[in-house]
Amino acid sequence: MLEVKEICYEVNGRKIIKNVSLFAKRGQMLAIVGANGAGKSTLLSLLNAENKPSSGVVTLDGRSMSDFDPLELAQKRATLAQSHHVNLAFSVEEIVMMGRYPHEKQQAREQDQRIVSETLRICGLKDFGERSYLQLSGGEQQRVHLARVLAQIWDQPEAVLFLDEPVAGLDMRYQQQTLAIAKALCKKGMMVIAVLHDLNLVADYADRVLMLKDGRRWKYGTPIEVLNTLDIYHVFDVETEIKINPKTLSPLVLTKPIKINHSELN
Amino acid sequence: MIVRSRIDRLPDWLFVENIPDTYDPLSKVTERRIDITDAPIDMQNYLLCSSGLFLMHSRMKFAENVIIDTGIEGESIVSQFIAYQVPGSKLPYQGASRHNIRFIPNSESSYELKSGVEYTYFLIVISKDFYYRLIDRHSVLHEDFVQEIDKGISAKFSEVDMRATPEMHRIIDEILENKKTGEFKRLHTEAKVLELLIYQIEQFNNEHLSNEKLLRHEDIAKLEMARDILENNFINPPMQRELALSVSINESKLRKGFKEYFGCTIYDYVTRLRMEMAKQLLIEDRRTIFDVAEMTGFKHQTNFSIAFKKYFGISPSELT
Repeated sequence: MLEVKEICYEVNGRKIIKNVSLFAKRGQMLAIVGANGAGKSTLLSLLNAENKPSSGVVTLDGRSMSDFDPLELAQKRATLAQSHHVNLAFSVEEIVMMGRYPHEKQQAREQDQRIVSETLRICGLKDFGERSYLQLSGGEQQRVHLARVLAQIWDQPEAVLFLDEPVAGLDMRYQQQTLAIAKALCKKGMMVIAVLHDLNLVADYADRVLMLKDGRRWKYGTPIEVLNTLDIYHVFDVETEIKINPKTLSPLVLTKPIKINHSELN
Repeated sequence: MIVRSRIDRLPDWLFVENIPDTYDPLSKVTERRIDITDAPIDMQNYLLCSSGLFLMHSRMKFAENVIIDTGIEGESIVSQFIAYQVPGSKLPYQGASRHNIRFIPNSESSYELKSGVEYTYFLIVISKDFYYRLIDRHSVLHEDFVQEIDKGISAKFSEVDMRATPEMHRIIDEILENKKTGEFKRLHTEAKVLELLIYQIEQFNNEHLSNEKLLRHEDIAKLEMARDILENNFINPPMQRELALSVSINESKLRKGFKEYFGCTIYDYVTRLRMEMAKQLLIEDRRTIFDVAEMTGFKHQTNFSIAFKKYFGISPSELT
């Protein structure tokens, strides 16, 4: 269990995260939603121990995140960042194998090879192993990094997976595929914490939702509790209508198109 | 509640508004402007009324000192922002804009407004019923304030009025510039009023509690224990008194702390766990409503169906 106890995060005297408490359990996917600049990525960086909160504490299984050494952390949790910078012509397989570095002894074992092919396959990159990363499309590159991050924790049944906007730039199929993989890993006993923008994906895949506004916890609960017209309006300033899917009991968020008078554009 | 106001030299009330106390999400929002430019008075007022809520923004300037009487009948929570500017002064707003939140059972008050000074006044009056809908009465954010409200005596959030922040001014502007209509007008106004109250309360609390934590370390551990107990026993959950006893915390502290820390009441937490289980049983395991009601700890199927509909918005029988 990941427990976040009244954490704040301050940079240059400006509070970016304000007194956020929450908990996430293995077997569940927690989605973090909020407007641009609400503090979602910052919060994620506090949860995965990339940054240390100015006050408050994050514990994993009762142990403070700051007590783990880096290698231990790398074996326990993996993070898919929002953007990646790879300028060298690595092959897809080489990049995915980087996810295995925390586990390799001297050189890649058979087990590592097997995991890499497995994560390539599930990310729809089965025949991409030899190709140069730099020649892939943006969406394909994104999937390579997903495969790398999955490879990092694939054989760690108690791992925590952090995903910062994992479906940005992916086509419909791989948006679904990515979250379905995350969900399946939860069913296997892992924990997934993902920053997401599409509230309908949140409704379909997340078990818990944290709504952030100006660095504060605005709402925290199940999708059906959190995704309602009033709270969505509070947080996004967008008018929506919510319906319930009678097959899945998931809320459906219908947005109302906004009109801008073209004569006001100059 | 009734809100009314008059200027000492005018024969009639500026306005008398009768606002229903009970919050009704379907009620309409009405707006009007009252502008008076008749020496010595120069004022522009904007008024917004809806169930449980009265809101007013005024800009005023007088050529002579005048007295304004404002009366509020009925139990209400009042948030007000006052700014004034003396002509010729270099400072944009002396004393900037000051604000406070007060609870007023019934009040008549008179203010003398000085000649030549430009006043900007923003007032929100909220019925007690609506206030508690916006901010849960058990929230530790306004614990002391709620105690005084319950005693029915006048109270204010902060001993001294506080300085309004740019965030607060931005929200007031958003309320005034809101061009939405119909239901969205109401939604927007409520959203902004709540946001404003939150910033006000946050500022008061930051000032008064300084860096003191709202919850203590030991209390957090106890709340977490309580949550674990509920997770393991939600089908037949303990009474709140028993729960408090088993984690050795006082019952009211448990209730308030739970809500504050986990963002929902103990009751709602149990409901959440039961409804998640019900969802799984109905959708994935295809069990009958009768079975699911029993398995999730409801004694009668009707109670289950009512709780289900309240949580999901549709009845279990409407599932396809």
